[in-house]
Amino acid sequence: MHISASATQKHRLPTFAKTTTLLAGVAAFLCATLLHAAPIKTEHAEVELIAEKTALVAGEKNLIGLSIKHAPHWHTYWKNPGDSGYPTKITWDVPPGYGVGEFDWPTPKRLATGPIVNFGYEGEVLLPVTISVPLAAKVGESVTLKGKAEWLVCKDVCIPEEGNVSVTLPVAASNAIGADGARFAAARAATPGDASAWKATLHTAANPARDAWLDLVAPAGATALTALDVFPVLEQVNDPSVQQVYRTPQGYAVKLKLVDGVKLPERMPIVLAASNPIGAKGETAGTTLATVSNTAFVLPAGASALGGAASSADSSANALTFWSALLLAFIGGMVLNLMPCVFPVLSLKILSFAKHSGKAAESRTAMRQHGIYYAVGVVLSFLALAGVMLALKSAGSSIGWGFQLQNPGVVWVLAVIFFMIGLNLMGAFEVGQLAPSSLLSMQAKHPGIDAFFSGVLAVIAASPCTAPFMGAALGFALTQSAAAALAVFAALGVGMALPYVLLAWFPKWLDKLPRPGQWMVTFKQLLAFPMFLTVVWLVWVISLQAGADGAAIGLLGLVGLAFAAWLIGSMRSGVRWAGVAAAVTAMALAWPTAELAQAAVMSATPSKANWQPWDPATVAKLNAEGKPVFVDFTAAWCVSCQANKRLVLSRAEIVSLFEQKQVTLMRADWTNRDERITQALAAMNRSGVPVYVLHAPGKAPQLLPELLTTGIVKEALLALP
Amino acid sequence: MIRALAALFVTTAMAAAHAVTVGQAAPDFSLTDVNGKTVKLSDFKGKNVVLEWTNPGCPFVVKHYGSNNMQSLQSDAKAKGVVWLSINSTEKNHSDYLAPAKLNAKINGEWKGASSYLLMDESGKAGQAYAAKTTPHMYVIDPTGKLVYAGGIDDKRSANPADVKTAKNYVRAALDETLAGKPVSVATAQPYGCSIKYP
Repeated sequence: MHISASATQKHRLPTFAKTTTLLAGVAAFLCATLLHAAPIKTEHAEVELIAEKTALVAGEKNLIGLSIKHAPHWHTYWKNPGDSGYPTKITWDVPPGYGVGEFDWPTPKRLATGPIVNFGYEGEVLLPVTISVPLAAKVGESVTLKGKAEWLVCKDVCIPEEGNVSVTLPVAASNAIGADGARFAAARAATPGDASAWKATLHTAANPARDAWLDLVAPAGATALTALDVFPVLEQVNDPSVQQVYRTPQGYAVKLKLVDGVKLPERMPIVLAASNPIGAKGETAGTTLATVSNTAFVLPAGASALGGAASSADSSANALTFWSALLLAFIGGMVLNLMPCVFPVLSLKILSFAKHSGKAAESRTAMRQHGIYYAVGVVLSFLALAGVMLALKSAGSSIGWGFQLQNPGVVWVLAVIFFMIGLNLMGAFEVGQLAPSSLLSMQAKHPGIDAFFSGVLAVIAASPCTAPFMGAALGFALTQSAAAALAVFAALGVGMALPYVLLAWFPKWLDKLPRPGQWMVTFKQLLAFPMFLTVVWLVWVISLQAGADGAAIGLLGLVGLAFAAWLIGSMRSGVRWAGVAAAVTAMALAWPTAELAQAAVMSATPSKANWQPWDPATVAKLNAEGKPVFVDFTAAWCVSCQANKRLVLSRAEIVSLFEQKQVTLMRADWTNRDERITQALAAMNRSGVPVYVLHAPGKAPQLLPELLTTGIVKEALLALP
Repeated sequence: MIRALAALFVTTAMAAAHAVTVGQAAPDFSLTDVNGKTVKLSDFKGKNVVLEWTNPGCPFVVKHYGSNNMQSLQSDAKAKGVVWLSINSTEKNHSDYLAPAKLNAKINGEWKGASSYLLMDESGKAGQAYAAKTTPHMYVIDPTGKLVYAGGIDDKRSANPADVKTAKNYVRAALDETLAGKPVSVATAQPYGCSIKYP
């Protein structure tokens, strides 16, 4: 049976007629040969049936396949076509006894046209089909396998096409790989393998946005993926345009959106397409069965976003681009200067500028230097904070921006700093009396050091005030690579420092200020009061974190420090050491302990009658009953949160509108660390508070801006039915 | 400045896509029909409303108009007091786009379409509010303004007009059930057709 060479030649002959003529001329039973009808050619595709081997063998399974060569940019569809389209199909007409399997679909591509996302193929594709040859097939006979093929071919328009396809093969005792063998080998390589080692669970707890989470547990020894794409095999399960992939400690988690009215089987087949081998035989795509579970899923601590083919489609809808995040961070940094916790520091700076501007022109260089050092201090401090946060995150801590204030110890240290600044402004002591002489001489040589540390101080003071726009930008930053995250934080620092640098560069702007004199001393003393107000607020935060006892101990510590400062400022050097000792003792004794913080968690949630503690399950339940829910993600240490609460949310007109629209009010309190809230924030691409979410029944959750106005809240509420 | 920035922020925050759900209120919209008349969905409260996404350049739309399937469905519905809104969300720059007069001449003239209004949605906003994916993509809204059906026109996903006779028409079934005051038994189905040419 040496037919392979001749078969190859003959099936390349252009016309069917010619081949048949040739066939007739040959001893037919000895040399029956492979041939197929000329391909169907349309403007958009070239379609034909081809065979892998030169002949069919009785009792064996042989492969044939539908080859589709698309015109550039045209595509046909996978078995799950996605948003529109339909899968290519063949209605077979084969001789009795022959069995025809389903297509072995190669892994599809994600094809987006505007908001419509499809799964399909471009370029050349081969859809292989297994033919079971009956035992009764006689060697030497010629068998024609034919059918009506129907395919929908689309670019920006769709053309349904169809045609009769066929392939004729001889039955032989044995066969060999034919001319198209390589295409079958390629199709096999492109077909998803077995990825059942990847344990998959689809969490589908009811929620108004129809979010579902696919939790994937990687098998032992799996390499880290740089990209992962998920293709549900069943049609009409999920919205193909929504897919967010996260790396979790155990594997990956993919956020999907189910279609309305979906009915899921208990086990749902899913094709995973990855950057690295994931199939049992090293394929980069594989099928696994996901167990469908009617449970909720929370993104575990330490999860980070992973690039997937779909994330670009999704990000256009609600995530920021890198550049807009930089811009938002920059603007947010400038706005930070106006926040109540930063403003006193700002005033101090302007004061020092006013001092300088009174002097001669030679100090101009010094002033510019001062501005630059200040900016460097601000930017480096933000980078340091970001670095600590990224390090904690990669170590698995579930934290977000503002994390530093979730520790009452840190809050107390801030209270001490503001209190000491206040005392200093009042004239209770001079900084020079506190610092060791070595540091003083350094300061004398390097006046920039002073400027640098005022930058650091400004950042420390600013951290409670997650300014408007910072939330989105920082939330974005934490889902990006470390370099991108640091760039966003650097932009924040540059934005915050810019006004001072400009003032330092153009001191003429300060000419409007009165000439230095006694007024400056008075003004300095006056500035102590915003400092003391900040202390009151910080102690209030401690009282929520560590209870009344914690706050009282903190206050005692402050009094001890005031006493120490007075000793240092007014007495001889011998007594100064006693003052330093008093300060250390006060610090040590007044340090708020973690136990206190834990005990105070319950009391941290404000017990206002009309606000209930946040609970995602209750939100989903109320929404399902057709009731809207408003959630206030807040923290005691977040100044913008408190401002919004008092100036907007507590306003009589807003309160009555909440009642009128029967909105259930919930508060998620992030004053102390709370993993659930951190994850809920991450799911909204946020990293800090405030976040305001209106859950209207049947709609996606609506995020309100971080800087609320009565108008914005009213507008959102009036849109409710 | 804060206000302007806040406004900027609101737009970013609200860009998150909304989705319609059967059993929930159908989102309202206001569109201009091919004769320049402004039509608001909320004007038809108290009536059953059918929304049909259409594009005469799509072979699947041609299937249902060429077989007179769509027109007879439209006339039957209107005879029962149902408001039928055909909506074209094709963007202006697409080769399938037809200006209002031409669209009117094609669907209502040549094809003798019988919808109550033929609406222009070049911005695609109404289409995206309903997450309409294909032409045709069908929605049925009950007199209280609740969405009771969303999906394909029938269960035979093909461009072959011959399939119309043997297909189960989901829109007709949903309308009959809603008009009889019964819950809709098949409330969602796979939409099929050409993808909508959104901007």
